[in-house]
Amino acid sequence: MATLDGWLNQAVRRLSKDSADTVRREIQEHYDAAREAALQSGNDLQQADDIALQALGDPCAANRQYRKVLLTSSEAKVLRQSNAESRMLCSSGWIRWVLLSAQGALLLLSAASFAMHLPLLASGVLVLGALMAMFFTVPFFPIYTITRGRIYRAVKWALLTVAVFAFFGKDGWNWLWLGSCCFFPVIYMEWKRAMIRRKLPISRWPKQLYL
Amino acid sequence: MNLKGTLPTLILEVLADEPSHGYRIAQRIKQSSDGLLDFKEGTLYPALHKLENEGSVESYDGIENGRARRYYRITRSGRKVLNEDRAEWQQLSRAVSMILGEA
Repeated sequence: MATLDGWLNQAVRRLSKDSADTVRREIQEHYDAAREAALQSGNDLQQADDIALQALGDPCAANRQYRKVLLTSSEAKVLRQSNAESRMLCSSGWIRWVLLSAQGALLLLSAASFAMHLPLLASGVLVLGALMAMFFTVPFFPIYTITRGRIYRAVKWALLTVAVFAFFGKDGWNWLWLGSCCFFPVIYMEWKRAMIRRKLPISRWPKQLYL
Repeated sequence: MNLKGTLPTLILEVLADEPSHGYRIAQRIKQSSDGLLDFKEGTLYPALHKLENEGSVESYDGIENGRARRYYRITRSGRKVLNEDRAEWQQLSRAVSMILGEA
């Protein structure tokens, strides 16, 4: 015979621990209230349990809907780990100094290449510097509003596309598959972050969600 | 009767009167429709979470009959959404009635 525990176990499948705790608490509260109402209507204990459980419906359908609005375990993991680069950058002064000065050095190198009439090398170095700046200096930027976050993400993806075409020239379309494979982790993270943004209220967004 | 897509609006309508907890919201929807609108109560909470994520409702902890309860109340933006949904529903309902009335 189906029990509330069995129902809950199916309803919280693949949800994060916090989400699962929320679901268990609210469904338990609801079940208790429904059971109490059924008892007051003159049903015996067994009937009251059955009525309360039946009213909840299909746990798999509830699970599908919960996964659309609450964090899943994989999204919670992304959220926990996605500030790793910021923590790495801010962990020591010399790492920060090296990463920030590397971009300046690339910019100078690009300018020097232009001056030496080496436009291909100059544009390649410039794009590399811009990519580094995009990923490594951004934790220091004041990006903590939705609009700024959107602008940053639009610039980031435009730059990534430009990078593919700058490196491969006119064959950019042919090599787009290689770029997509190389940037797959970035694309995966971006997709997961988009999912998380839809599920978390803005007041609970950590900084990395804006990026 | 199928409630697909209308549950958030019905929840907002119930909460527009007073803050309430999940079980009471479900009962209010069923009672107000004379039992015509029946839905599986396990799907009520995902709809409430969605409304909360969108900023249409906010939740807080309360006590009823000595038992801890999660209460939900409508926000200002929730009332705006409800007014828009009401207007949209009335238009749709009028259009369908016109077509069915002519058939």
